[in-house]
Amino acid sequence: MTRQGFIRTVCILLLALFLACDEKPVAVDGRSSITVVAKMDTSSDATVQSIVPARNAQVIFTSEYGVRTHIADALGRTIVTNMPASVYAISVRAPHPIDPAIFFVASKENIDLVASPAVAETLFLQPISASGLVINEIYTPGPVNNIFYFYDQFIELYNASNDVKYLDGLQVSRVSGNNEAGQHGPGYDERGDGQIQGVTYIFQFPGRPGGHQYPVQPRQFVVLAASAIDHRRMVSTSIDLSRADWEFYNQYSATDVDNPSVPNLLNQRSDRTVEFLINLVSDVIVVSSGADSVWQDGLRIDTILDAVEYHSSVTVRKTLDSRCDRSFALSPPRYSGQSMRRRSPGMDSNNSRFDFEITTVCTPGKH
Amino acid sequence: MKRATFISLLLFALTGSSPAQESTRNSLLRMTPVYQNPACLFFDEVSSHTLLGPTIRTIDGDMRRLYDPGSLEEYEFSSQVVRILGSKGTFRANASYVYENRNEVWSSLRMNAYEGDGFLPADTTLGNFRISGPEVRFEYGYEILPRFAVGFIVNYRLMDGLKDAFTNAHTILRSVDYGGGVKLQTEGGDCLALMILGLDDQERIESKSNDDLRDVEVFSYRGDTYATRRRSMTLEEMLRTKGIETALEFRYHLASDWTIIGNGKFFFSGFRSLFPSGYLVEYEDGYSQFRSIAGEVILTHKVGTDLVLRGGCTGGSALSWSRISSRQLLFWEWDAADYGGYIDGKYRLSEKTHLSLLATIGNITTDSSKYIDNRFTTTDGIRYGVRAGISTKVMDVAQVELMAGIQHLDFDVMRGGKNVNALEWNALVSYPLTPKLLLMGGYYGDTRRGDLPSKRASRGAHSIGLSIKILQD
Repeated sequence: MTRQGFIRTVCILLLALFLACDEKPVAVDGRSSITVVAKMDTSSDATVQSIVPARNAQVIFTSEYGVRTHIADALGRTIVTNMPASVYAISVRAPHPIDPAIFFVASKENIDLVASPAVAETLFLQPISASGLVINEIYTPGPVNNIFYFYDQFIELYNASNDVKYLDGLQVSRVSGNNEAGQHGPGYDERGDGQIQGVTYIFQFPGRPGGHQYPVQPRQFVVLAASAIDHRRMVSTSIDLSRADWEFYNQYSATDVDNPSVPNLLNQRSDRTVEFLINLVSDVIVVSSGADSVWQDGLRIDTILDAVEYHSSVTVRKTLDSRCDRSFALSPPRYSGQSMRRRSPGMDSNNSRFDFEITTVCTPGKH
Repeated sequence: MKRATFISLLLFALTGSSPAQESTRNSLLRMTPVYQNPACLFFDEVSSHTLLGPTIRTIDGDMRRLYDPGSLEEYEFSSQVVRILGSKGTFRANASYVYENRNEVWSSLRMNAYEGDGFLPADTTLGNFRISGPEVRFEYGYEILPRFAVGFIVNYRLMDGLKDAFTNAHTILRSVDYGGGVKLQTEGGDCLALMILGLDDQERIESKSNDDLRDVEVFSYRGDTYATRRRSMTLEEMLRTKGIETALEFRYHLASDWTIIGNGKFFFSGFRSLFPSGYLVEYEDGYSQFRSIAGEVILTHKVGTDLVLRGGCTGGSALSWSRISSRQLLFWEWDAADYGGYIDGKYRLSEKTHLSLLATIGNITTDSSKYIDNRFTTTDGIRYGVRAGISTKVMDVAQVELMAGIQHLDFDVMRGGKNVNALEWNALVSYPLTPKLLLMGGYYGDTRRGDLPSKRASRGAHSIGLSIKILQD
């Protein structure tokens, strides 16, 4: 190669390198701002409007960067500046100034905050009265341990209404089937007939639906233990569920141990011969009235009192019908001893993403 | 090479102290140019020899940045073989193995958290990192025309790191560097040399529960504040850097006792943070770009036969930016510049004893715009230092070299801290056991104190090495 040829080759290589460089973006991140104005109607008479600012309302922003919570000012305004660009969902919630059984809730999803524009949203909060029994806490991951111990699972119900509710004939289901090819997944209404598919476990309280033998007082918690024993004897970091209110007992299982001092929910599927356990990080839990006794064709949505879907990642595809739960809760890590619990006892806006939070410890029977 | 390397270079150029002497030996803290021009091998190496020996390095103290280790111990065994092949050129090979303990590393899962890009995979625990691995290098220089040599170099490094807590992050850093150079040298000693290097680093971080039981959770930070969260039993992330570096050097005798030397360096690299998507595909979460340019001009004057005076001025600037690739948004940008000068003198006191004195002064400015964090910082500070050294022969046998120096920096970009005062010293002894067997031992120490936001902090770095040089015919 001649000297000129060598120089030419070097120049071409350098030029090619620069042409291959990625271009520096013009738009910068962290310049977005959002103003949320929250208002609510506190009138008790439907003909008289009393729209007031939702002062001190809790404003929750969720995005790929996690959850951040702000408190609205006296005018119901929340101004957040220098937000990173992302797709946000906002939920605003405020208690009724007089009646603690009423919450005002509003949410808006898919707000795409791009590089720099300011976004303003006015949200009118709708009252949701705590109408009855709800799933208040789901503890699935097991305690901190290294022997794969997760048998201390429990589901906590809560009577958020001002009336006595009854457990007679209620069903508690784990919905994790419906995964065959061509199916949409657990809890999906495949046939469009108002029933969700994929019931894998279904346990039922004793009594007849509509009966009045097993009351739950207003503001009372009800703990349903997978195994109502003192799990601390197996793993010291676990919990004592020997005094749970109810126990899931599979009468078709040869190995499920029954605590005789704790009343049982019994298995309705004779083909399921193992004890009631739910997935540690991803599942669907449904509480239904028991009016739909033919679970084989699905559970009728109009009989469902509450349903919660949970997953470990925000990017997972939701499968439960949105009439039961409009989103899903984020589950804690396996074997972490953490739990999924409603932010406020019994507050159910049918949107588990906002209603539930991860707590560092589980709190059976209390909040 | 990114900001750390660039600044290392400047500090080295201006103070004469090599950060490599106390570095963690990671590739991105190496000086620039990363390697000596391999074409120079032909002119510089004059005897075949083998060199081997261990080195121990330690760093401790509370003057450190958030993700720096609380303390560090490094053990290295290295060897070098040089063969003069006459008309067939000159060959040099290096091989070394490093074992390193980094204690109390907060959160960071990367081997080197401060590379200048805005991406940091992290967990939530304090843990110790054990890092070990080999490095091999081959260089060859050959005179293809009279006084005109070409050279080639290839370097391969594989470091394996493991964090002992929570995520048990397993980090594999693979570094392949390759390139070549040319050098034209006249009989009078004037020369012109050019080198081009390709740098290719890949750091793969795998976080996995050590009992296949728990989930691990990794926060992939974009900037200082915001992170996306991933959780699974196994999580992977890949950090890949490709770069090119060119270095130009000339030496010209203006007169019999005046020489001018010039060095120029240009560096460019692109860094990508990649997540696996499927078995074969990776998607790019972010990208950072680094460019730096540095130059140095030195004027040397011989005063009589015993004194050599030297004056130099140096300057350089580095630019970097980082983006979130999916949205094409710039979220970090910084630039740094360092300009300064130095003078030094070497005086031959006697046939066996030489004295040297070096004084440096310079100015460092940095401008950091962390858009996503809404944090903007500008710094402008001076640095100055003095070093003195003596080299002598003891009892006509052992060669002894001693050096001590002090330095002040308004702020220490490499290690954190303001109003930093540093004291450094080193000692080197070489003793010929036989005419062809030379025993060498050395010590280097650097202690410094500086202001952190909450306190006055200190830091000590020490390295001690022993080697045997076997001369061959």
